[in-house]
Parts: sequence; C-alpha cells; structure tokens
Amino acid sequence: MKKKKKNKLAKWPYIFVAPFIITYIAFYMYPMIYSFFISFTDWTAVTLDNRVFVGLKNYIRVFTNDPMFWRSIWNTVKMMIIAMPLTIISGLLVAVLMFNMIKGRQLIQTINFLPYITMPIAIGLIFANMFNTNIGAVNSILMKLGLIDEKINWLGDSRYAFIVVIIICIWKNFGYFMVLYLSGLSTISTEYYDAAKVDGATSVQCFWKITLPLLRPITTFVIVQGAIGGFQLFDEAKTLVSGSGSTIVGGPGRSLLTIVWYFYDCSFQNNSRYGYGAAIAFSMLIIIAAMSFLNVKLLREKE
Amino acid sequence: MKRKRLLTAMVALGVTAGLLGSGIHSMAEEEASGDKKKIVLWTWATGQFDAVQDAYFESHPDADWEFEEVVVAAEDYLTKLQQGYASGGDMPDLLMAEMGWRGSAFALDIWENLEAEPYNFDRSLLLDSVISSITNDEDQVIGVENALNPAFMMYKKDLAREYLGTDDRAELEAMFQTYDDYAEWGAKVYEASGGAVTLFPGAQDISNMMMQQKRNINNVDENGDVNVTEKVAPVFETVKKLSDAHACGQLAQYSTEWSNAFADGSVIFFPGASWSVTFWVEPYDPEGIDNWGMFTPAGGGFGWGGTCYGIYKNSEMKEEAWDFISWALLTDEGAKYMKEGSGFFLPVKSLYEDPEYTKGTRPNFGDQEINTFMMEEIAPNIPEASLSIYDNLVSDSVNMVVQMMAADAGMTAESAMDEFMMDLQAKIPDVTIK
Repeated sequence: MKKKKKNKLAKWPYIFVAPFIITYIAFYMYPMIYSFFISFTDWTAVTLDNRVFVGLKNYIRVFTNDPMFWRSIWNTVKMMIIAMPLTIISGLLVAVLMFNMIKGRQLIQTINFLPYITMPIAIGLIFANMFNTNIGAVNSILMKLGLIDEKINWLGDSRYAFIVVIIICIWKNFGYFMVLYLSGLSTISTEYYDAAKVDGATSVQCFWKITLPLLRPITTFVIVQGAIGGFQLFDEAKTLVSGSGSTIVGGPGRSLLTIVWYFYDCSFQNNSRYGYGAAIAFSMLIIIAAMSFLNVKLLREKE
Repeated sequence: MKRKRLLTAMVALGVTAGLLGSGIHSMAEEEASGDKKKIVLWTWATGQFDAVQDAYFESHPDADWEFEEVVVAAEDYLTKLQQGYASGGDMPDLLMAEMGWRGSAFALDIWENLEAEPYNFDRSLLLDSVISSITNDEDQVIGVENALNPAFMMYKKDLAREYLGTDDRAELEAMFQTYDDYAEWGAKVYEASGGAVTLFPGAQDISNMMMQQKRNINNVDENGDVNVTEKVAPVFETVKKLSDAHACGQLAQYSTEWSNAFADGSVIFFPGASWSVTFWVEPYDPEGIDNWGMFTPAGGGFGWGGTCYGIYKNSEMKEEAWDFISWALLTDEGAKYMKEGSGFFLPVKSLYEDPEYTKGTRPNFGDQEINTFMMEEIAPNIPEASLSIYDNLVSDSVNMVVQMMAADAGMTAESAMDEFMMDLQAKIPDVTIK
C-alpha cells in the first residue's frame, strides 16, 4: 500500500519540473542546436527555400577571409583593454572609500548603481545628445572653460567616438563593480586590520597587503564578467551612432563595430546571411570561452 | 481535506474566470472593431496617406475592411521583412520598398507579380523612366511607384541675397554650373560670414546628390562584379574639394541639427526632392514664407528616394490590397489626393496630358511655380534608377568614408577611395570589386 503511494507521488517532481524543462528545450537548447546546424549552411533571406550544406566553409571564411570579423574583434578587445582596468580600479577605490562611511552610503551606492540598470538605448541616446558637436553639453562646457577653441566632432570622428564609448562603458559598469567589491570587503575580518595596526601598518599598506589580496576572488569574478560583458557590447555603441542621426554600420570609420554588432549586421541586416551569421556567433562563443578559460587559469596560477 | 478541495475549486474557478475574461475581452474588442477585415501595412510614415485612405473609403462605401498601420522605421524595414518571412511570422499585406534598399527587397521571394492574373497591370500606363525601378530580375512588375521624386537644389532667399548677391533662380543657375563653382562660392561665403554660414549643411549632402545623379549606372556589371570606381571616385574628389573650401558644414544628414538648419540661417543650399518641401521645409521652417526657391543644380536634376507599393504573395487580402493600390496610385481621383494631401505626383502618363496637374505653388516658395519646375523641368531628365542587391552596402561604405573625410581634413580623395574599396571588399569578400 505504502509502495503504491510512493509510486503515485513519484510523478509529481517530473510534472513540476516539466514546464522548466520544456521551456528550456524549446527556447534555449533547440535554438542553440538549430543555430549550430545552420552555421554549416549557406542560407540567406534571399535564398530562403534553398539552404545548402557547406560544411566548415563559413568557419574557414570567418577565421581566414573576413577582415571585418577581425576588425570587430580588435575593436571589442581594444574597448575592453582600455575600459575594464579603469572600471575595476575606480569601482574598487570608491568601494574602499565608501566602506567605512556611516552616513549617506546607501544613497551613494544607489546613485552609482543606477547607470547599470538603465536601459542601454537610453544611455546611447543621452550620450549622443551630450556629445553632439553643435548642441551638445560637453562641447559647450569645454568651450566655456576655454579648453578648446573649436567644437570637437565627437561622434563623427572615429578617434573621439571611440573615447565616448569607453566613457559609457566605465560610467555604466563602475557602480556594479563597486557593489561587488563592497560585498567582498564585508567578508574580510576586521581582525586582520587590527593586527596590522598593532604592528604599525599604515592604511595604504593595509590596502595593498590585506584588502587587495583578499579581494582576489571578487577581482577574478569581475574580470571574467567584464570580459563576457565586453564581448557582448552592442546596444550602447549602436544607439550612440543612431542617436547622432547616422545609419552607418559600426559608426565613424567602423571604429565602433563590435563583434555583436557585426554578427547582427551579417545575420539580420546585410541581406540576412543566417548561415554565416550563425558561424560568427559560434566563433564568438569559441573566443569568449577561450578568453574566460585563460583569464581564470592565469588568475588561479597567481593565487 | 475540505480545505484542499476548497483550494482546488478556487484555483479552477480562478483559471476559468481568467479564460472567460480574456475571451469576453477579445469578443468585445472584435465587436468594437465591427469585425472588419484588415489590410496590414508596415510603414515608416504613418498618417502620410490618411487623406487618400479616407478618400478611398468615401468612394468605396462597400469596402468591408480597414487599414492597420504598424510603424516600422525605414532603416529596419528590410530586416523586418526578411525576418518575418524567414520565421513564418506576421507579414504585411501591403509591402513597401524604399529606393535605397529596393534591390535587396526585390530579391526576396515575397512579392506578387502585378502583371499576372488577377491584377493584369499594364506597365505602359506608367512613365517609362520608373519601370526599371519597379521590376525584378525576371522583368516582372512587382510594385507601383507612389511618386516621381524629382530632386534639385533648394535655397534660402535671404541668405542667397546676402552672400551670393542674388536670389534669382536663373542667376543662381548661371552662377553654379559646375561643382567647382560650389567650391569657389563656398569659400567666399565661409569667409564673409566668419564661418557662421556654409553653402551646404554637410559633405553627405554632396555625396548623396552626386550618387543619385549617377543612379542609372548599376553597381553590378554584366559579369556580376561590383563596378563602382567610375561612379564613386569623382564623389570623393568633389567632397574633398568642397570640404577644403569650407563649402560644407559639419552636419550629419537627417540629424537634429541638420533639420534645425532649415530655419536657423546657417546654410544656404539644401539638395532636396519633391518630398523635401512637405517633409522638411514646411515643418522645420514654418515662418520662412516666400524665403525659399529651387533651381537646377550643377550636374543636372536627379531622382532621390521613392517608395513603391506591392502585395505580399501569401496575403489573404490580395484583391482588396490591389483595389486600393490601383485606385490610389493609378487613377485621376487618387492622383488628386496624393498631390493635395502629400505633395506626391504619380508617374502615370495620362495625368501629364492635363497641364493643370503640374501647376501649383507652396507658401514657403512664394510665387515660384515649383510643381511645374519639378515636373516639367526636372522630372523628364532624371536618370532611371538601376537596382542591385549591393546598393545599400555601397551607399553605407560611401557614407562611412565621406564621414571620415569630413572628420579628417588631411584625408585625400585617393586614400578615401582606398578606404572605400577595402571596406566594401571586407563586406563582400566573395565578390570582385572594380
């Protein structure tokens, strides 16, 4: 009798997890497997009824005969290399300075975190207005301060547009990194600091010898997260360009063409090359996985 | 046990009530819309044809359908069509295609052949110059052009008087015979105004005008190669010349400041098309009454833009859609509303037999017979559009390089050409670019 009841109950766990499993398969696994399959085909919107299996041809072209792919990778890596250290350093410093604040900490924390939860489209448009050559606040302030004589073409010149995207990346992520570091700081026992003070250590020495080493797991997480987020950079750069009235893919001189923007352009804009776009997506996956693996390995070796 | 039953009953009741509620709601919605069939139109210009739509329903009281307009940005339109068709998702019954990406749109197998049954469209009704832009590779007419789009030079009279010494159209035409004349006068204007006024808003206005003046040259040659050097090289040379002379400002075409320049007195010349009058001059410079004029630019009049309408091959509203298209875009009655409501002149031959059709003035252009100018002086000479699937890629690369030239005064026309070739080749590595 008991056994029968047990069997009767056994189906319920499956029934309860079924919605998740079905949704996961339908909206996650199936599209992934399907995308992987079409990455081996020549399939465009123009030849929709004629999908041709081409084997590894798309991947070979991505890695050996597609300068735009490598350009987009280089742009993305450049943005990450410049923006990530600055974001990490500023996030860490502000977190350390704020950690012992008694009044106003919550307020400052919230204010700094707000950009992270602001919609990328809104961020792109706000910065497009701020850095507008003729009516933007930035040029106006710089001219009033006498720092420039001529208006800077922020969004039309590839060098300056690149700087604006870096500023966006730092402004957007620094609050998030700061919160992560704050949570990391709260896990460090005060005993270490007390002992160091007894030994006559200064605050700077405490930071270098105690705080920083003990925050290493957080730093590892932040770097991996930052690298993954950096490779996904798209909305901010695209809305920055379109917000300035331009329809040029990748912005001035294609200097803002990130890997995701290139993937989007190939897959859905440039005559919708679905097969080739899927190959770019999986190539990107390989590169992100390799970089994340390297990141974690290098940081663990140091530990 | 009782509590469990009660809970089950409440949940069941809740679900039933929810389902019933949504059912009632949707029934109420259907009743409110009178159960009318719908022709779905994806458009980037909502309300543009309200007048002609109202007129259609007035003259067709038996029409048992209504329009459902869905806003889709012009730059996203092609993508949405491709995605909608590829995914088997919703598609519009009435298709639109803008000239800039029409070659790619026409390559999609989504259009009805309008010369076949049951439409039996007769292409000889239209002016010969538009046929090449509404036919696909198999020479089937798959769209009907909603307007001729003659393009020309528009100028602000007050600034022309102040900096060029005249606001007379004929004198301006005589002064600006070549692009070198623009460079010469552009330098004078820049100097006289201390840099506050330029002849043109930006370099892209020049490059677009020059590209459109050569739109009869197909970007793809008979071998299937992209052959654009002859077309593009002079554009970069001219942009360089005009930029060096400060004849162009730094305004990105269609940006907010570019729109503001129609009224703020910082620019004298604006290359424009027939639709520029109703879309840009009138809304952005409402106080500029009798302060505008238009003349034939150096290099001649040209065609700029244009939208055609077609029918989705899997639509269930084909007959109704064709009834509307043929009435609005092919009849005298439709032509009247298209002209009055939107300022559009239909490319239907018979309309031009009536001299009154091309008469008309607009307040911003004073007493200049702009309709006559556009339709009788510019329209007959505009180059026919020759479409290819690479048109949007070519123009994207040209725009990118022109933007680089505007930002970097040291960039030569030769390096601009190299950059263009490299960029275009990177986008289509499988195609030979000449």
